[in-house]
Order: sequence, then structure tokens, then C-alpha cells
Amino acid sequence: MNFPIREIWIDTEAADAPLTRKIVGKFPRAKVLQTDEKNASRLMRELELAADPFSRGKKILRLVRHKGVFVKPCPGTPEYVCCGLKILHVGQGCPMDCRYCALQAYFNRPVLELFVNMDDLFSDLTHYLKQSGDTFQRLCTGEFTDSLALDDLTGLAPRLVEFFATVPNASLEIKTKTDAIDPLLEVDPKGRVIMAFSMNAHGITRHDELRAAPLKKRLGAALRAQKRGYLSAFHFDPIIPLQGWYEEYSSTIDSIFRTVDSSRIAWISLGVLRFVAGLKEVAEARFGKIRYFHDGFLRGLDGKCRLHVDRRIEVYSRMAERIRRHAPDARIYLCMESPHVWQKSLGLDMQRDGDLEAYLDSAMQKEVRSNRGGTSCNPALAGLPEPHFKNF
Amino acid sequence: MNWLDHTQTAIVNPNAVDLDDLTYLIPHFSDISALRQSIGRVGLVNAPVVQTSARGGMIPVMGRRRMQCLRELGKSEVPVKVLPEDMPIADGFTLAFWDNAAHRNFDPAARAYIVKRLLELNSRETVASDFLYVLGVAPKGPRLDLLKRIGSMEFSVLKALADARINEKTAALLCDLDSRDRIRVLELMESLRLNTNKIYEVISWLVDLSIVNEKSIDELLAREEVACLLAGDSPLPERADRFRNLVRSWKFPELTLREQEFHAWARNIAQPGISVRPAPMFENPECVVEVRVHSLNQAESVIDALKRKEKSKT
Repeated sequence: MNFPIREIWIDTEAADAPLTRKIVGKFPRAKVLQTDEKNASRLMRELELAADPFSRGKKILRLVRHKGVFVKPCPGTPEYVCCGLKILHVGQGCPMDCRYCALQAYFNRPVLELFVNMDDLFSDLTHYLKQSGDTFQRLCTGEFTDSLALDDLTGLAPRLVEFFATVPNASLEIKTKTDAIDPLLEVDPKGRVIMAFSMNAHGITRHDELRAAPLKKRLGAALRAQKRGYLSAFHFDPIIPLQGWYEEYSSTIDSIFRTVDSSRIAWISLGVLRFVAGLKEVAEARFGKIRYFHDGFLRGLDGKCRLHVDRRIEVYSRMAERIRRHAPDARIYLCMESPHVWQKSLGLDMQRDGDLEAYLDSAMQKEVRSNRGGTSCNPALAGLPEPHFKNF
Repeated sequence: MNWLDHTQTAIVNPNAVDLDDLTYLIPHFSDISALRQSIGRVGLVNAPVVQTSARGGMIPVMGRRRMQCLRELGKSEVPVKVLPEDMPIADGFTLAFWDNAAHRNFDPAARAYIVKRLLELNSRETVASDFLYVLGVAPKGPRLDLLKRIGSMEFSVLKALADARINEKTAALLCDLDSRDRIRVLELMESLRLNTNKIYEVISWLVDLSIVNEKSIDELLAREEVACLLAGDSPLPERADRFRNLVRSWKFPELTLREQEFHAWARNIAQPGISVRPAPMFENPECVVEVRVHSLNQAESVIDALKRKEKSKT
């Protein structure tokens, strides 16, 4: 991907890392600044004084050593059913610029950050999975950043695919709005890696997802990934139900099923736009008035702004019905919704986080079972207990 | 440069000082009568500072309100200090700023106006390093831009903010409206005597509706139901409440419908001492049933009855 990086800030502790030298070499025209704690906070203060710190921050790449844990639970949300995803923390901030992006109100540092201590990441990951024992783990790199937008700098994603291909108790989800998957086609995922694409209505993609790949290219990438052995996933999140939404989203759903093999889709997630109250202010200060933020949002049980439950149920029901027309057994899940909404819109009994975890884990377990006896499956999997199925 | 070391003293007629000139204005929205009384009683303690303007007259730099009081008190000769004509505006505004900062707390409206003016006259870096800490404003670009927009509104709106008739969140909404809509909507809210929080609610709903429906607020307020409601002869608080509920029903149609259904249902099963509350925003079908009793014994018998009922089911 070709994003306009103008400045690179290198933290003292990251200066000697081989990855730092490799990344700096890719931006011969960028201004490179060595930063210690003191001048990094001065630079950050100067940046925050700009009219739009985020726009400027998206052109600044900060290379740091990550000192915390690399595997952490998804923050999820209280009062609603969450999927128990684990985040593999590879960096934060995204060079693309979606107007609705929750990260605008989530991070207090507007620059792009990449972690250069990859060896620590792998050792932390190995330790985590070892500790998890037989409990199946779904990990994802695309929570605090896009999984692939900066991957041509780090080359991390193919290494992770190779790693997960040999791990019996975990799957990796690579989530992106790009089509930059070519390096991933050079490695064999052995059925353990899901190539996920964030999808939306064409109108939203065109107007609100700045610098992201067009839907057609994302779908083209999904097909290529499938052919290489990756499972697919599609995330409709946020769904923005403005006037004419059903036709727009149906068109995207139809395109998916026209393009990829539906039997190789691990899951499709749905999530109607919800946000912390501060996001509207931050986003509109940057982009001007954004119509959908002014819809009938109420304060949900988790304190986030949510559309009325009846409207969300209608959106989910109609989207699910459209998906099931193409794939009756599609594993559709709702992101951060209540058991009531699950029941009303999908007809599924999803009372607690563990139910949803099992529902999604079973998608991967199914894949593992179907691969069992083949060459692509790690024999260690044979010893794994069956997950808790609840009539899924 | 220390411009106060370069002043000359003079005696001027307060009417010769152009108090409509806003070059160095640090607004003060409170009543001037206490200051006037004080000057009338003990005299002028500190001489105002003025500058000779390029047009030949004099404009106030520090002591604008003192000068106004002296005018109102009918004084014809007032001692002043005169700053040179070539003093840059930014320097003069800095003098006015520190003069005010030394003896008063800035209200939100004055703060917004000052930030606006400082940003017009100085770089962001200078504003951040030299002034913001005194104003208690975080040195964040988007926050400065918001205050700048608020500070650019009409003085009547700023006065409402200074008087806490509206809060800063409402001011932020108003500064995105055109001047006519802004004044109209504020006048309407004030005529209905809604409190500060309700004014914010109603204006935010109107702004949202205006954006989602691509209609001006004027068009929304021109609906016949609004005119009927506002023209009614019911007491003002009742009309204000009905107006607020009307706008709320436009903004949250599904919620309003569910509330109506729920209240109709609850009325049917109503018992004295028993109330039923739905889940917040009807997020799920759960309800809270509250039974009010007068003693622990009564509470116990209610619980026993419920237990018996539960048991008979199983």
C-alpha cells in the first residue's frame, strides 16, 4: 500500500531494531526524528495543537518497542454478548481514514505506531497459546489497526500465517479494508487462517472510507485468498441504515456470493453503527457534518449511542435473510448485541459470551475436522476436545 | 516590548473615545451598574489606557467599562494613558488580556471570544504557550477551533452563554447554524422558559432532524402542529413540555411508539403501590416491578405470595 508517510519518529529503544532500519529505508524522503521520552511528548503536544491532529498523524509513523502484552482480550462492551476474540496487538492507528472510525475517539495518540520488537511478539504469542492449553483461541490483528495496511513495511502477516498454520489450538483472523494480500498468497494457511474483509454499502465505501480499497478489489482479494486455502470472513460493521440502505447492502451481499465460494466463508458479522458519544464530535470536527451521526441514536445499556432496538432488529433480520438466500447455513453473528436482539433477528439463543465463543469456535473446528487426515492439518489437533456445541 | 513604558498621560472627554471599536475588546457580559456606583462613590482608581487610532480618534485598550461608566456619570474630563499609534494590535490585546486576567474569572463566553481573538492575532504556538493556561483551556487544536467558532457568534448568543442560560454544548450546536436560525431557535427556547439542559436537548434534536431530513430548522418549526401547540392557551410550562415531547417524538419515533404502547398496557394492569418500569430504551423485554409496602411484614407477605405462585407453576 502506498500511504503518504512524511515523518518517522524513532523511539530510542527502537533505534537499533533491524525492522526499524528496514522501514526507514522504504521512505527515503521522509523526515526522520530520533525521539526520547521528552521530545516525543513535545512533538505530540505540537501535533495535538493542529486543527486536525488525526489527518497529520496519519502521515507520521512512530516506531516503538511495545512493552506491554501482545495478546489481549478485545475490549468488547458491557451488557451485550461479545465473541471473546483476542487481539494480537501489532501496532495502532490506521493510514486509511474512515469517517466513522471508532479509533478517532479511542486513542489519545493520533500517530501511526508500529512495534518493531517482533521477536517479543512471537514469544508472547507462543507463551499465551501454551498457557491456553486445549482452549481454542481466536486471534485477530485488525482491531487497533488494519491488519494489512502497513504490512508491506513489517512483513508480519505472512510470518503470522506460517506460525498459525502449525498451531493446533488457535486461529488467526486477518481483517482489512485493503486488497494487499499478495504476500499472503506465498504461504500456506493450512486452514487455520481467516482472511476477513470489512464490507459496507457502496455509497458508504465511496464516501466514508478514505484511501480504502474499493469493494470490488476487496472481493477480488477475497477470492484469491480463498483459492490459496484461506477461509473467508466478511464484516458488515458499521451498518449505516440511512434511506435506501437495504438495496445498497443487498447489492454488496449479492456481490460477495457472486464472487466467492460460500462454503469457504467462516462467518459474517453484522453490527449496526454504535459509538461513544465523543466520536461524533471528533469526526465532525474533522469532516464537517456527517448525516448518519444525527440519526435517532439513544444511549444503550453500555453507554454507547445506539439506534433503537426495533430498528436494529429490522436491519439484522433483513440482512440475515438476504445472506441466507445465498447461503442458508451461513454462520452469521452479531457484534455486541443482546440475547433479545439475537433471538429476534437471527432466531438464535445466544445468552452469554461463552455461547457466542462456542458458535464461532465451531466454525474453525468444523474446518479442522474436515481437514483431519489430510496433509494440511496438524496431528496435534486430534487430541483436542470437541468444543461445546449448542445446536449450532 | 513594554508598551506601558511608552504611554503619555492626557485628559480626554470620554465621549471622544470610540467605545464601539472592538480592536482590544475583552468582553464582559455582566451588569455595569456596580462599577458605575463604585466610580461615582470613590472616583476613578486606575486611569484607562487608550490608543490613538489611525483615523485620529482614540480607542480603548484597557478600562473600556470604566470609560463607559464615566460617560454615564456625565464626566467630561478623564485622565488617561495614551499608547503610541504604532503599537501592534497583538501587543495591545495582550495588555488588555492581562489587565482583565489580573482581576476577574473569565466566563465561558468571554473565554471563547478571547481564544478567537488570540488566534486571529497570534500563532497557535504562542496562544498555547502564553495564554491558554491562564484561561484553563487545554492546548488541543480541535478544542481551540470550537472555541473560536463559539466566540464568533453574535453578542446576544454569547450573553446567553455567559449568563448560563445555555451551556457550551448548546453554543457549539448554535455556531453551526446560520445567524437567522440561531437567533430564532434561541429566542423560541427562551420564550418557552426551558432550563439549560432542556434547551440543549431540544436544540440538539432539532439540529439532528435538520441534518438527517435535509431541512432547515425554520422549515421544521414551520410545521402546523408546532404553530398550533405554541399558540395554545394552556399554561407556558405545559406548552413547553408538549413542544419538547413533540420534537422528541420526531427524533425518536420508535422509542415514542414503544413508550405509548407500554404506558397504555401499564395503565390497564395498574394497581395502587405497584409500578412497572421497562428496560432502558426498551433494549430488551425485561421489566422491573416495584411494589411499595408499608412494613417488613407486608413485604414478607408479598414475597410469600410470589413464592407460592412460582411453586404452583412448577
